[in-house]
Amino acid sequence: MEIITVCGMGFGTSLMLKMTVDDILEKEGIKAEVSALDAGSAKGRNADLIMASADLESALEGVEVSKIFIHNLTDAAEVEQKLLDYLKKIHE
Amino acid sequence: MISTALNVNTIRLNVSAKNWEDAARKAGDLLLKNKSINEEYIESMVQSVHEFGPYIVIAPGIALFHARPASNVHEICLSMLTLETPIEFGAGDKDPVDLIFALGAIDHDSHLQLMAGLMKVLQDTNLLEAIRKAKSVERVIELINGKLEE
Repeated sequence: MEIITVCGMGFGTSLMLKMTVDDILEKEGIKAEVSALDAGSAKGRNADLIMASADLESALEGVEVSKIFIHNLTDAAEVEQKLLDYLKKIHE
Repeated sequence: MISTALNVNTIRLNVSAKNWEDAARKAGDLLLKNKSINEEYIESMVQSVHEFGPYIVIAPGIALFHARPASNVHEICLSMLTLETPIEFGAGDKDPVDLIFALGAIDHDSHLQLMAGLMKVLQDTNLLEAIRKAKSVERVIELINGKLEE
């Protein structure tokens, strides 16, 4: 699967989020390609999942991809819980 | 590396900032004095917040200013301020903010290692508490380096 982490410019918070997501996927033994992108580029990408800061919700409105919004980007537990919940749901 | 980027020139404690723009300029000035960026980059960091909203408030009390990498950044760089009085960003329950970072990157991902170090620091709430209470820049450096050696 392809996951994109998104922030306004594609190299700050999206990169932080990518690192956290990569760690979680490795720990869980899940294979996925994770790329950090800016909000503009993310709109044209056909990914399976978008993960971004909750503050970017309106910037990503209208993008027809499943989205997970994170409140606290330094909270690995929040990222992990939301990502694993999503993965569980799609496998049901 | 975060331990080289954050040093006696790029950390200031108990800074007074009138508002978030003032905080961005003060954090940016440290990078400017170090010749890591030029003045335009500071304005770009401010503009980014106007453009995308306060998503640079990455966690409760913590803001990470940055802008798109361009020729106005000369090297990967990071500065840090603790604020005398916390300020509002309009970031909801992540306000008020008292820990400010300014990041300069030269491309999409060469600052990955720096970000990994920063994440390690920011994920440790006890360490952040100690940094907020630190009385000297030297102590902050000691705390950060101690964390990275773990």
